[in-house]
Amino acid sequence: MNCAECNDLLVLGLEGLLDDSQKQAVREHLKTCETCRADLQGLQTLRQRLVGNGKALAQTSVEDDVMNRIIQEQNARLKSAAQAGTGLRIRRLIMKSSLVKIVASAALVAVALGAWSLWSGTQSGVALADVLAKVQQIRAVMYRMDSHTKVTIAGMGATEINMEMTWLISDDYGMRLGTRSTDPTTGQVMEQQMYLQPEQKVMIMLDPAKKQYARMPLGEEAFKEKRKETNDPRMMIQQLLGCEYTDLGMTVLDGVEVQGFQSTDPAFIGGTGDVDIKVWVDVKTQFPFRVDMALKMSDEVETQSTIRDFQWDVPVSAAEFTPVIPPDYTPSPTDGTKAAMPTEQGAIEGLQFCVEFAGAYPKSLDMSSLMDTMQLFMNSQTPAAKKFKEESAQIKSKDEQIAKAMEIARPIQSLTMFYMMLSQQKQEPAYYGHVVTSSDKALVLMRWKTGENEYRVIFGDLHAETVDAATLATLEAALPK
Amino acid sequence: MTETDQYYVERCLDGHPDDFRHLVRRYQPVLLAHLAGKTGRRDRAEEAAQETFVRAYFKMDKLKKPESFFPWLLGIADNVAKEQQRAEMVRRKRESVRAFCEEAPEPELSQDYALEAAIAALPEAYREVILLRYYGGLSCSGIAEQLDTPLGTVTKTLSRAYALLRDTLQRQTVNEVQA
Repeated sequence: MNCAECNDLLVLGLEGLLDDSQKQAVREHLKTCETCRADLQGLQTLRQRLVGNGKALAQTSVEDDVMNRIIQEQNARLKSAAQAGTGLRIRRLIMKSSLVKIVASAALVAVALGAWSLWSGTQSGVALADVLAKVQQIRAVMYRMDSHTKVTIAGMGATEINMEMTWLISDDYGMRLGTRSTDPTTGQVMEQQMYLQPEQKVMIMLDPAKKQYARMPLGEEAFKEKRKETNDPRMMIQQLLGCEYTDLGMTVLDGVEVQGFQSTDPAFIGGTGDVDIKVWVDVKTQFPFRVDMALKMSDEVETQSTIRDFQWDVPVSAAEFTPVIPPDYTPSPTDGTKAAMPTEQGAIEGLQFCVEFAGAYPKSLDMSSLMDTMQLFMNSQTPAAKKFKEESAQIKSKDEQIAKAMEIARPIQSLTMFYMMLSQQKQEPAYYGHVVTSSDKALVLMRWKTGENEYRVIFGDLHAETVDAATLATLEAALPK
Repeated sequence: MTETDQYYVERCLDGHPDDFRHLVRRYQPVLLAHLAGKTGRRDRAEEAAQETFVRAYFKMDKLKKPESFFPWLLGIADNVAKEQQRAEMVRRKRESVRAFCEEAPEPELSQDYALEAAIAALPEAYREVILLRYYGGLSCSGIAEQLDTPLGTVTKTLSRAYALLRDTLQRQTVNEVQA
């Protein structure tokens, strides 16, 4: 073998493509030829460098950013009448794919860092990303929220409620919420104090009018989640940043120069319903000054609210978060019951409850199908449902009836809240209750993303497992169409 | 993730946009290497890679041969890199007037810029094989299949690509030493 022949074979050798006799011939030649040995050495060094560089670059993933941008762009195109042609084609695509819905909600609700950088550079005056950076440094905030909620149930008319809430949220001590609810038709007023205590992992409710208290235990995981659904303005800004929003420009509110940001993106409440949220930011301090929200979660539930009187970085002490239960207070009927919690455990209990009570899983977990699920419960003839109805009929006191109703409402609330939270946090939740039953041990009932290439799956028989993307794809391919 | 590019392209066009994810996953290191070599900066390469994928997605119905997704993607990346460089030049001109007294921050160079630049400078056929082999995770026979060429041609191209790369890298080292 000469050097030219050897050279031809070296690359093949490195790729493992030589047969035994060729290998032997190359080895023999290398023993005697210093040039070819040096050549091989050089090739190996280059290959190592290439492999190392390839590995280093593989650490970077642009996947989520790309998919988010595609969804945003798609929505922009859909909205643009000028591009009706493109819009139609994409609209058809969206209608055809059930997965897109999940991706769309996941991507739109992006609370991702990437989303801020896209926007932060393009805003004039105040940038929302800067506002978020500021409010995230705050350790404690106090504010007031006024809301009007209307719930309409077919055949039962509408119920309205006005609420004034004062929130105090501290990263160090917990949360305190004072609520004053008024029924506009009867004028009846109800006051309540709620304390969320991280140390004791408990939620405590005080009702001064009835002189009652209720202690509702929370799990460790549950406590973290409860914080998130407290209308914490920091969460709201973060959520807003993940939605499509427009800059409303500057104006003056109550003598303060503010800049407004508006979003009508349903992703703000998890993907369904009508949303109109305006955040007004104080131009001077760059802190939110007022938030106006109008949400219509379904045909049955709509709410308008205003958040204002913010006090940022208000000094707090542990005592303010520790309720003193007066000695003459008695436990309320809800004392000791678990609070509804948007956690995996809460979701599994909710699903379990549906099977026992209604004999089936809910068809969907959207906010808008919550009423359908309740209807399913009302009409259910399972032993559990019959027992519940008989027991309810015996109860005379209104408070105890409420506590009894909570037995049904709580598991469903946990389940729906968990699903909504997953879609808000773009964890790609999917639910297959319309095709999966409690006897389907191997079928995916619900899943969501928990990490890079990692999904949590609840199966039809309600056991849960963590799987990788490939396994999930196989599992989902096995679902009945 | 063993499906062909063609399969995923057709899935996307058929109403499963989420399957574009697989193509992004498959080609992101390749694009990053290619673009880092052209731009010399990791942040710019990432930006350009994102832009390339997004453009590719929305132009997918114009891709005549779905099996040629990869060379087509590289073509888009080249355009994006060129546009980025033009924009960068305009920006620099503006800034040089304004901020000649301010220290400009050192741009963050890519991990092995010399190597990436050498790859970017390779003629197209060689570059393609190196990118697919080391950044696209394909074996020689995988490349042969994807490019629809005999295995022998792939290994010869690879061999020649190595020689060209080594030449360039050696010249760079010599230049650095002399400088």
